[in-house]
Amino acid sequence: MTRPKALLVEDEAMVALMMEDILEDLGWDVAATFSDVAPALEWLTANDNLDGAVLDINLGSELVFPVAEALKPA
Amino acid sequence: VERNPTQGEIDALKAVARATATAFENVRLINHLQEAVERREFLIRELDHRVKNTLAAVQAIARQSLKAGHDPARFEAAFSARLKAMSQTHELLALGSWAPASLDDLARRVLAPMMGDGTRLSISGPPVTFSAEAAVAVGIGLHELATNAVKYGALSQPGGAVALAWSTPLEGETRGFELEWRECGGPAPAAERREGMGSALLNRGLPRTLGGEGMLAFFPEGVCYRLVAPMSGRIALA
Repeated sequence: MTRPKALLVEDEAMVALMMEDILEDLGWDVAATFSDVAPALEWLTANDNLDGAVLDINLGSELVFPVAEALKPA
Repeated sequence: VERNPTQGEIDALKAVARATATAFENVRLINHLQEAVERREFLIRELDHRVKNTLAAVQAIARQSLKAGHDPARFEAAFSARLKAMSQTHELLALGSWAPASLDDLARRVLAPMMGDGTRLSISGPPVTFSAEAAVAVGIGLHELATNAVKYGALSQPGGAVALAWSTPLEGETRGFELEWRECGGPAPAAERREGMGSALLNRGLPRTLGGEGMLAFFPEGVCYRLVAPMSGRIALA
């Protein structure tokens, strides 16, 4: 059985590592982790086979919502 | 037609001038108060955000420290030392109301226990600041390097030394921020152990937060960590 794939966006390094760990323990593969909106959006243009995403809303100087918008089914 | 104003006119004008000055002064005071209130609200929101982030980071540290599978005494020691590094970073950030923190200040605080007379651990680099989130990760990262050096590396035996140095781009240069932690004179590092919290943070977590690259290497002469990242909202010239 293949493991479901998740995208993680989180700017706090320690928390990002823990979230990866927790997701993996829960049976997920973390397909990619980003700490900013722009690289996450760029990655999403080439990768659309995700099963879920965990997004930290406040990324320091910006909010994550554009990534959430990009995850909406067309 | 020119004429001298009457005393009554002068008094009336003076009264108007005083009233106007008072009004201006009141507006200035009100603006001042408003700014103080807004600043206070901003700081409370920032504090709320930081407290939640801190609790999440503590949870992360607890989880990673537990995963190492040590006995309770060793877990307690590792966990406490990491919390202490985090609290030193927070102290520095709080002093500056969570404005970006100087790397030199941060390094000297976190590495103070290992500094001694400064001959075994040197710190040098131009002024550069890290955003609050990035500073927390950098603080823990430096703590991990130092702890490792004291336990197994250059600071575990006499004659070993560590140099922490960084550089920033000069005007017109496109390269980014570069940092190096280089150990020498210690025992040759043992074959790489399985990835622990420190190496995960240094190799993946920290570089990712900064949009750069990091590499922890084990050379025969000692551990070497290199971090390269573009200047950004998280790393800025002081």
